[in-house]
Amino acid sequence: MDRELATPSETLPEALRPWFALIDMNSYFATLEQQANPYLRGKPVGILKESGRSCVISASKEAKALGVHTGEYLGEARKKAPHLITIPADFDRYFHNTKQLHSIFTELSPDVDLFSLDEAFIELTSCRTLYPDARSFFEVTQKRIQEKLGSWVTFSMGLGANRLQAKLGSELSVPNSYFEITPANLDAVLAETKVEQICGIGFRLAKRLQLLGITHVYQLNFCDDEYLTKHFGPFWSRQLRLIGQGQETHFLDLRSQAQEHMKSVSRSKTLFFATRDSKYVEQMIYNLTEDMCFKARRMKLVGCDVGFSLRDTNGQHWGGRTHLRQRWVSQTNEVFSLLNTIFHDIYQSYLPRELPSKIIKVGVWLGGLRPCSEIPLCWLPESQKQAQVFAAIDKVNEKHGLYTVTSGKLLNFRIVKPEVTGYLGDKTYQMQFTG
Amino acid sequence: MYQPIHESVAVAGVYEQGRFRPVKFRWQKRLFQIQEICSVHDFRDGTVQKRRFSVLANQTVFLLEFDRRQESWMLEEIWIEN
Repeated sequence: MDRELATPSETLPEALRPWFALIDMNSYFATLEQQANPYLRGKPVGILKESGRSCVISASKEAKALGVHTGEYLGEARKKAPHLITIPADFDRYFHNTKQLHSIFTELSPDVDLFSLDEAFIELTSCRTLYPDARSFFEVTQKRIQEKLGSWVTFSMGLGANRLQAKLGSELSVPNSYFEITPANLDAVLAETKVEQICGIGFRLAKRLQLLGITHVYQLNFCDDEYLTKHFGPFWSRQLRLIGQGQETHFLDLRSQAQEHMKSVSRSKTLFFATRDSKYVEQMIYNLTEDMCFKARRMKLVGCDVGFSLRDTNGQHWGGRTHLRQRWVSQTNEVFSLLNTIFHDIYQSYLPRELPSKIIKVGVWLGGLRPCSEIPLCWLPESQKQAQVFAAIDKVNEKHGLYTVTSGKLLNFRIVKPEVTGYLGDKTYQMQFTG
Repeated sequence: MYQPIHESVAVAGVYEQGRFRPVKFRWQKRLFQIQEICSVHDFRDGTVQKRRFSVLANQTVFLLEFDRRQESWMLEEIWIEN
């Protein structure tokens, strides 16, 4: 075993030992809808992103008990729960409650990291005198959450010496309860934990581990460094070693470091219907580009990597990207023009006729973001004029809502409005600019 | 299911610890006494701040919306049991 990786936290006095909690709200969206409507309580509820959609994005505890799971197709869910009540998502409600939770957590500890819309890491190392044990912290949190969000709202709490253990603990905890990973039960927990349960181990890595016969986390400790490096390379072999010991991985450790600004912005949308109509796809790219660029401009960021991706009904991906040399963009028309050029390059033999396959999902992204203040200004009059036009449009849209002033390209098009995502990838933006 | 209504309503309530708590409202010439405020959330429509209350009155769930700029109340939706 690699001794230099072991953290000597066990040698520290109890009061100084790192202590983390992860709070995971149970069936968050569905529970909040049940809180808002007593007639939904105790019944199987499925949340759809919008009316008419076919994917259950959140299932209530009652629906889960019948086998319905998040991400399941509505048809399948109805086979398991014929009386499933479907409710369109109200992201304003969910995000408002997330902000309420954030304010509760910051009252409990100064070090809070929102992990997603319904999960937060709380570092408790400096608060040990306030909360002598896991039970007392759980009870205080439960009281505050139920006072503010309502008595129907419950959560699972995991506690441990680092974020990895806290996250794992929350997954082992039953709803409305807590599970603490301690040095005494750590090995037993790791021996019972499947590799795919670990935050940071994705589907592909789990599959590769399984092919080598590694199904449970503790088995990693029986592989030597050379073996892990041979199969997973220098980076992942080290990460797997840390995981095998229940230590914090690079991915989770990064969360403790403050990020100056977002590195990229993106926006994607599953279409209401599959289509070969190239004009519709172009309009959707424009719609999403406007949302994405508005976000970047509000954060005063500009990017030098732009790209888009399309997914057709066969699961095939189409897309492209371009890297701009010494040029940074955030104005919608500039970014769209770049994306449209790529789009036309890919489909040149088909346009302006129908696309070769039916497109069901569209996504756009702007990467390599830097603050506007770090970029030399363009003094060309045309460029300055355009910047002024966009500044004026942004002011109107900030006041009256995005797409109040928009391009004629979106004429006769059902505009997709901005929305918050469940994993809260843009939390820096959402916490600063919305609500 | 929720039934969209989007009609103006008159709301009476009390201020408690600096926050307004609706107590009753009048809709279509009927007075509804609020039994329970199930949830409250704020959101923005452009720069207009709005607050939405989900209330239980007369054994029905009503979604009442307060427009902070206009200082007006709308009954947005009611829950109808199938």
